[in-house]
Amino acid sequence: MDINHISKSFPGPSGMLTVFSEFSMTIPEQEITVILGASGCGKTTLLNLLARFITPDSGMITGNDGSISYLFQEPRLLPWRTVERNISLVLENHVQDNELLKQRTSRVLSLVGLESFARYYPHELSGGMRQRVSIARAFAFPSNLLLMDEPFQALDLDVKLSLVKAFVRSWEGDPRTAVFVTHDIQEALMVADSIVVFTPRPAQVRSIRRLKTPRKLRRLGEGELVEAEQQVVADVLKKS
Amino acid sequence: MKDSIDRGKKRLLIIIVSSAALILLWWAGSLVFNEVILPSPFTVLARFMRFLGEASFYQALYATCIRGIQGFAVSLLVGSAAGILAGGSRTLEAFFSPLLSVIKATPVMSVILLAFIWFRTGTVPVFAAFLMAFPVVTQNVMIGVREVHPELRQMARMYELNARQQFIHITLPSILPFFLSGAKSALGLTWKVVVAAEVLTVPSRGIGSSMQFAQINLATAEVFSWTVAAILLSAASDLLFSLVTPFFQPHRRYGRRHGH
Repeated sequence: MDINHISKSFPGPSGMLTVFSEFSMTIPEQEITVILGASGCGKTTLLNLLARFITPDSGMITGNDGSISYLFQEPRLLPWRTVERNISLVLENHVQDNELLKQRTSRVLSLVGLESFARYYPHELSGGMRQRVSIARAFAFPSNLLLMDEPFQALDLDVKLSLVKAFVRSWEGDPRTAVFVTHDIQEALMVADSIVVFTPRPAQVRSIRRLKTPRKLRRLGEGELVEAEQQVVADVLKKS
Repeated sequence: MKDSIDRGKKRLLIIIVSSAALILLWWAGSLVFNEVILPSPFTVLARFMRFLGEASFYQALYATCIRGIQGFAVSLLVGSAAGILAGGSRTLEAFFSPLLSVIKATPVMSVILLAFIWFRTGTVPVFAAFLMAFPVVTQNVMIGVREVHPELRQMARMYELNARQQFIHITLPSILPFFLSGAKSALGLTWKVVVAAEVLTVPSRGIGSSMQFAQINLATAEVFSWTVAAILLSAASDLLFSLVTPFFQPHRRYGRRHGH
């Protein structure tokens, strides 16, 4: 997926706010690209552009056509549908056979460890479990691209880590191009194929760091991750 | 938890005491005035109990119920349709708003008197109830449509749900709690308007007609008894709604406390 010389400005209180100016980057297919940067650097704008919610003022993005799954900051489940029916809803248009629909639903649920909660309503689950359901839904939906906007934010560290694990398990079961926006370096280290750090507005790519350790073998504070963390922290904190 | 149970008990106790005080006051008043001005609670109770053994009571009750249900059903249909349209489009909302404002500001009696000019006696209560109640349904359903959370709409578009799926799986369930509360208010209003219309137009049977006959005959205890019947009808419909509502618990509005 290629982003070619895009510019995007928004009207702000003191004139136009330029979020991107002649911004380019390539997002590798079938990999997880994590984008890190200070808040307000244009991470969410990038996701909105990739999701086609908004269009660039100039320049173009190629390779983001087709269906997209989106993991939002909130789970966005329908409160009046059970877990399994929340998932089957996004599958209905793609899988006609009822048995197949059931199979796929229970497969994605088992990947996030919720197979025994299929008949529960969202309000009967904890916040972390609801977010797992939304991960399962994102992977149940047949898409080429997965966009993630800080979906593990505002959760306890242990809940967050178990969600990251559930996400990685789901992704490895059905890999697709993923763009994951966050300001949490630990999440980035656990999940990324490459970590991209943005400069402050107007955003440019400051650094790209590839992680080689297989995700299953990664431990925070061990091996490659130690050095990577130091460098990424330095990149994020660097002034202009 | 225990606190709230105690508070509930305390509330119930206050309600019982207050009800008893009202009846006591009524009874004291009946000692001061004669039976035609203010019959005692016991006279009214005795008259009401006698009603329960008379076929004409049930015929009147039945006639009123049928009129109420007819008016209510049309209110629900027209009110929901108008509410969904007005909630989905600012243009239609603006288009409907003068009509709704005029209806809301019109005295019930004007509606009844005009309807009496236009329709047969039995139709007047149905029409008047419909006209007074449907704006309540419209208003609630319209708010319900507007309250569908934009986060859910965006999610639905993202996952490529078509317009039909969005309407059935997101809009309708979101509306449901608003629809129920609108329907509850509408039904309460329906009974009041139906009885008022019956009093004015005196169809052959009905609570209002019977009330009117009793009033002409200065049978005050009977007027009171018919009033009790009308109150019970209202209470029964409230009870019906409080029985139905818990079935739609998961329909609690998105994002309030749960569902997020």
